[in-house]
Amino acid sequence: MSPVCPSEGQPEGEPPSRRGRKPEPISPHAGACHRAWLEAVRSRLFASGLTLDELVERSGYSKTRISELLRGNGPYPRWELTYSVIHVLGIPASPMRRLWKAAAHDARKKQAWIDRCIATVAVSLGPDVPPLDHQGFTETNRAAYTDFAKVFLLNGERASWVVAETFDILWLCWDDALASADVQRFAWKVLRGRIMARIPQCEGGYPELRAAAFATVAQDQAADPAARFAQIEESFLLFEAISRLPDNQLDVTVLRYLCGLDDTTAADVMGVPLATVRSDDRHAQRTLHNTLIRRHPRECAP
Amino acid sequence: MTSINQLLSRALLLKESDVPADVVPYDDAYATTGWDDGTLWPDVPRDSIGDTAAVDLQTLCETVVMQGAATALGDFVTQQLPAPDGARVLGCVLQLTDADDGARFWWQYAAGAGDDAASYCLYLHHLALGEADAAAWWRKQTRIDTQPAPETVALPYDEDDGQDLALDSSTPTVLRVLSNLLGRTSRQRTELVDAVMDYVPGAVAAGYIGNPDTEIPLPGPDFADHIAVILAAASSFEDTRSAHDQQGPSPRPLRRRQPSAAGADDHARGTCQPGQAVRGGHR
Repeated sequence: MSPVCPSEGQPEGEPPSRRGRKPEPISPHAGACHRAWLEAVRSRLFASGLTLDELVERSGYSKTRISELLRGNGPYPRWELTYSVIHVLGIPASPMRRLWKAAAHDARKKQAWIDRCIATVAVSLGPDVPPLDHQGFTETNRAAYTDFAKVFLLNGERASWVVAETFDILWLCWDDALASADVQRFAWKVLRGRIMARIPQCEGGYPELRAAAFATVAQDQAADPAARFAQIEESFLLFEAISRLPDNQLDVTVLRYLCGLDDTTAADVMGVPLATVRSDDRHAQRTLHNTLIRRHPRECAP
Repeated sequence: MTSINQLLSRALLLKESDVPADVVPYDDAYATTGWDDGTLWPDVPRDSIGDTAAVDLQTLCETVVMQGAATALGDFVTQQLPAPDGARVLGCVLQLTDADDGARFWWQYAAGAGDDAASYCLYLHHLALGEADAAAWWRKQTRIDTQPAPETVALPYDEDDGQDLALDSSTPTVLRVLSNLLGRTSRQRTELVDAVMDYVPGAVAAGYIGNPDTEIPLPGPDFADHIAVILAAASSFEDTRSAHDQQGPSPRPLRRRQPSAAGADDHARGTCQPGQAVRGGHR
């Protein structure tokens, strides 16, 4: 990713100074997908040290429109305006354009309007190649991310979309990811946020996981329909209990037992020490034992 | 009876599931261009109990580190293993630097040695993560239930009204009050705390890479020496600064404290440890 444009007069190699006021909060009327790219843009602007006036001057748009864009106020911003801002901030255009288009769909903009907006800006997307370490990151984690997403989304295609989206968002804020305590953990939070935002939730805010009971290897290999039905019923109860685990324990349990990763790989994917994965695994098993074996001994009998 | 392990062993999902897609297409904008709704960051809905616990844990850790770092970090069992008091402080240091994985295990070690404050840290830690079962278990270990009940004090100015004021000095209440107080002031840390917070997370992370199979952090064979150096440097800095402070307004001769004198301070408390010279000068 191209570096953030430093403000003029900023000595090279020094962190950008933070001038001007922090932008006002994003409007509650901004859609969730709109908010996704807007947060990245605002974060980049704030880190750059540019003032609103400087951004206005460099983008060529009025202060009112730039201010509206940064707050997510008013109608969904046209790509032309958005591009002018991300160009000043050095944000790569191709992942940003995908994010902008998805948010436009989310804002109920018609395909023709989106196409017209895109056509008005002559952007060469050629040089927009993810940083090498970002490419390595995506190749390393794509399979595990997709498997994890598929547990919740059930559909392989949707899982791939979420993972692609996650990687694009990470591309936008790759500098933040690298500056964080752990890139893997930073990315895992982004992936998790994207998945959880689009899956149905049971009463109490738990993710809906029971449908995965129809996709287990055990039921697929059942000897007869009765055994298959019993297996599905068992998994149904188990997955319901798993969905009620605390976040970290849920992630470890899904990665370890539903996706079939060993604990070392699960620790790598989540960006936590192996000891933490093992600890969360133990806690999760104890909670599941208390939930299932003690409360439903009959259903869990072989 | 089926064990949880057996149940989990049958939970593996097919790589290529034959669950048919819904006949009603998903409202995924990404089917053509990008994606559907969602938020960038994990805007996980948190209950207020978890939020409160996270704030309380932050306050408790700040307090433990500020008040206990100088005294507790001088005592090591081995080069890599602090004494329980030090483990509690180091756990708080990790928590404050967002490297809370190792914190849990250092607190467990300290709690195992009977450290109630570490148990309380674990209670808040698990509660903040939404892990109610583990939180409840650690709460029991704190023996917090044995604390005295709120005192009832008659208000001195309203004798006629006969109104009494209940003084709740329980740990949760004290932490809540502390949170509010600390929130209004700048939380300035001492040089010692800054130095420890700079050094420890990296050492612990490196230790986990070197010893992935070990739960308790093993931050390297020279960990205790590093901490001792930090303590000594911080002590020296504090001495210099206090000498400088006294130089301006007061014409009196400087009472520059020698390391041995500081050690004598600790001797008086009967807790002298190598590297604990900072105790007297640390606020």
